[in-house]
Amino acid sequence: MKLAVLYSGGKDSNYALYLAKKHGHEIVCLITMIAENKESYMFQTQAVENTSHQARALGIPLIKQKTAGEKEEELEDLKKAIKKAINDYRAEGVVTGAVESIYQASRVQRIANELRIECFNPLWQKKAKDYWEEMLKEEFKIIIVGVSAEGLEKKWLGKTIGKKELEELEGLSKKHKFHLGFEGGEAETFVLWQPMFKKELRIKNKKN
Amino acid sequence: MKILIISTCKERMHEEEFVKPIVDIVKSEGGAWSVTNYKKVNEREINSFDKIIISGTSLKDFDYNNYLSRFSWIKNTKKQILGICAGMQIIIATTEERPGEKLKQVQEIGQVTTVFSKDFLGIKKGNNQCYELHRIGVGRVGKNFDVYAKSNGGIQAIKHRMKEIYGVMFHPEVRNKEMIREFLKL
Repeated sequence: MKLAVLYSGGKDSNYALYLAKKHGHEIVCLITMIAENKESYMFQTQAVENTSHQARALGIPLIKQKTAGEKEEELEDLKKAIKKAINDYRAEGVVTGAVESIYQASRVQRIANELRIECFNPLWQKKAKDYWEEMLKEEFKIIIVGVSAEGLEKKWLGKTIGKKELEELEGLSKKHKFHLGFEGGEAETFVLWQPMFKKELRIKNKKN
Repeated sequence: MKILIISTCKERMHEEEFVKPIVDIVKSEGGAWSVTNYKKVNEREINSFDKIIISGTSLKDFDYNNYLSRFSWIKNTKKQILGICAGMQIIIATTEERPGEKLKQVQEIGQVTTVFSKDFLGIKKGNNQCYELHRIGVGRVGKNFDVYAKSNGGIQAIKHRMKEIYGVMFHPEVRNKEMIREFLKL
């Protein structure tokens, strides 16, 4: 099936993209929503401008859609972007990296239903530790690009997550009671490499 | 205890969403389990399992309706069955007379307030938030089933009067996971 992937550049959208490809689907485009409102209910806002680099590394066309990021109104902008994926790339379905958020998943489901296309959520209800381990096994190179939870200090910014860091994160998540998959926005991630990338991305300027 | 999970998903990737969460719950309870597909399931396969869970599938996927003959064993089985969403519709389609009259077009997507008129597989009588994802719902059932829960969109939970056959239109593998654990304990 020809699919569009909602793509923020972080671990969840990259793993969803990877699984869609692994299931034999053709990824016809990526969709990145650029929200002005940093408190958007729907979209990741950290480092999303950089998805162009990832799209080039993947060799997949990218639709970038700006949105004010205001509650509910941002859904109209998302619908516009998905319509573009249908019209320009003949997408027959949309893939999300939703894991636990009924708020996000059900809104994309409604849009897909209105546009009469399929909606796939291949990470749905996955346990955070399980899918972190699956991504590390596939040698995903994931860095932290934003932190906003007690226990996650600035030293984590720019850090690549390997087995050792995952163990440390797990300990911190238990101690400070945050979600290991960052479902509550406790941290934002960015993927520098995953098996679909033709080349690894490198960071030129680190900003704290 | 051996559990058979029947996938109603046409697309294999949808199994990540509609079957895998059920498998995770069954695994956490320590039961032996196996997954089969609606196109392959047959009576002989059913007989080697103690309980059967029939999954839901995506909003656009109704292909399982082309394979209802694969589920004809439901009518006479003594196995414990839990049908989720499409699974509940399959139970109705294979056990009720004139099933088409029992189903109705109704769209419910997301968290929906569901009113339980009596306790149901560990869910207490009263209002409960359930996760819904369907375009076809159940408007009424015949004399074989008792209704346990309703939402504004229609019937949400049923149990066969004579057998341990349960059906829910909501997705307990997303919210109300405890309900599946209760079914496994029966």
